Amino acid sequence: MTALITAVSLIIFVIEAQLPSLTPIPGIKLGLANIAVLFALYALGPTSALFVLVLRIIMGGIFTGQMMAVLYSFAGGILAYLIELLLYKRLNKNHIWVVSVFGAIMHNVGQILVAILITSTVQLVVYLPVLIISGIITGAFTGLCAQFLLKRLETTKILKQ
Amino acid sequence: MYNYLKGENQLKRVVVFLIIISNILLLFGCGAGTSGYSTEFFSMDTVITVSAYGKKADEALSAAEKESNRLNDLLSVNGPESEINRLNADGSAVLSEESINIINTAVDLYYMTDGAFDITIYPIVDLWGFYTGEHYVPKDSELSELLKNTGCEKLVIEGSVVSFELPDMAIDLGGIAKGYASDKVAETVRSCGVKSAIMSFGGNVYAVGGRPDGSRWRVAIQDPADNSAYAGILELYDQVAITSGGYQRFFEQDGVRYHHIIDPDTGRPADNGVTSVTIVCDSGILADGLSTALFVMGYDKAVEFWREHSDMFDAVIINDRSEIFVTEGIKDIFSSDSAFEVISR
Amino acid sequence: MKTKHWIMIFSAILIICAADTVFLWHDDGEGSVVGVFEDGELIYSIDISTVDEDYEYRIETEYGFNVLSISSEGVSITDADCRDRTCVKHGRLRGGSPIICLPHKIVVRWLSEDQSGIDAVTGTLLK
Repeated sequence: MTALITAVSLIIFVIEAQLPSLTPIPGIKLGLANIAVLFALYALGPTSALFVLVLRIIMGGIFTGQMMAVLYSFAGGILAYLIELLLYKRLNKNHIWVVSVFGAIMHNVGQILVAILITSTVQLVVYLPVLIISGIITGAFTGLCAQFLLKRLETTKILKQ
Repeated sequence: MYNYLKGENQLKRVVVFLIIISNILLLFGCGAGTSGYSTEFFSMDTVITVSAYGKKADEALSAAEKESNRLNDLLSVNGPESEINRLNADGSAVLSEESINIINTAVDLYYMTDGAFDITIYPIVDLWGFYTGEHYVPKDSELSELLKNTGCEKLVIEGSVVSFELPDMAIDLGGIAKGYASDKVAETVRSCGVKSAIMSFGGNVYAVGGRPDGSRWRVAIQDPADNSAYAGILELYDQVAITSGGYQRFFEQDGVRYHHIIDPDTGRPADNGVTSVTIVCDSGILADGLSTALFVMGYDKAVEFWREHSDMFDAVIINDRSEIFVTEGIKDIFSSDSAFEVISR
Repeated sequence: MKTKHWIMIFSAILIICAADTVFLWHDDGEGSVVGVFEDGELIYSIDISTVDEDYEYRIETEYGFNVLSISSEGVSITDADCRDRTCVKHGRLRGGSPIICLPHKIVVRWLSEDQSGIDAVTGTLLK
């Protein structure tokens, strides 16, 4: 099951990598693949979700050939994961999308921080507002998808909860 | 938004709050992004500005401020920690190595300039009220009395003890303190790894290296006749430019202007047709002392002096007819909208 | 907390960020001095108002090169050997948004410098 989710995550990631960049900073991603991590978190638990995340990051880097971007994925992904971990049990099932929004925001915050660190330019922080907006929107989108999916799957009882 | 302080909700509240706050901070922070490189502070009785470039710029700036303040406490005539204060009060004192070195340099300058630069004329400067603000025009008799106690030959320096031969003597390092400070602060800045910086110690400019792109620092010389204009521009690289001019500090009484650069021979403001002397060299302490000395000497003596020491410094001299004279060594780095004459070796 | 409340919160943040973006990007640089930074260190600066003839400045880093085109109208990166050439696609340097070449650690942005090319003045103030 975990493997399946990881695969899906990878696919999304690779497709997303083909999209034009949101900012002049190369490597900054929308984070659509996070939908998988979120899903795994609710469906399989934190360890599996972490697994999906790390695996996707590493293999995503290999598949897209941009090892530089791995740093961004990592920073963004880990921060997103942590905040989702923090929140996912505390909000009810209708608010999975909220968890996702927070995750997406933190994902972008992580990316900007890494970019600033690498170039030693604090000025890059001008992109934070744009990325927060993007985070809210993509987070809501992926979150709703995940939420929807989980609801459906619940009724069919494939998953534990 | 009631219930908003309840347990689990509180966490979310905090997170949201943080995002909003950091956002607002961003708005203000962004403007200040570029100025990690400059600082301005008050020390040594004047305003000091330091601009540094490069990776360690921030570090260099705070180190610079610290060093300036340390020197301020050490060298001022008024501070409670001032060694000079102690010396002047007791007539004799054990001083730190740093102070001894500065005094020795001052004495060297005294002999080199034939007494044109003299740190022992403090009692006279004090009488004029330039430090206290109580301006007073001394009588000839008062001055001749005080002049008897001046002259660096009356300073006795043995090891770390400095003493005065006569009672009522007093010294003031103000004429070279800033120059010395600029040397020390530049050293501090350089030791932080900074290779490009420009500093101003109350108008004494010290250029470390050149601009970040390698070009020379452009330093303007103020026009003594018109405070808002420039007499010319010097392009400096690892050099100091220090200017002495009567127009910088003066008072007027009964229609006569008295400025703060006292001629050690007469005890009165130097009056020989020179309005501004700018010294360019690589030592701040020398430039500071020499700018005062050459101003006191007047044009002819100053040119003669320069010719004897042309490898040590260069100068820009402006007289009361607004004529500009530039010594040969810097003729290629000096430019001006007005005409100027080059003094050759 | 109700869904509707969350929507309100996020909408609020969205609006603030949108306002920020407009605000930040509108600021069309005070002055006319452009600075080029490599790894946080200023390596080149030029006051474009002093440029008579357009010229190119080549930046060589250990990771590759970038070519900066400079004219009195503005600056832009017109060539680079970095992978995605985002810096080239950025176009002319505008207000708050710097031109960045991340792989080469190059940032091109406005510097806020005040004077007409004078860095310091000697002989001012009290001594």
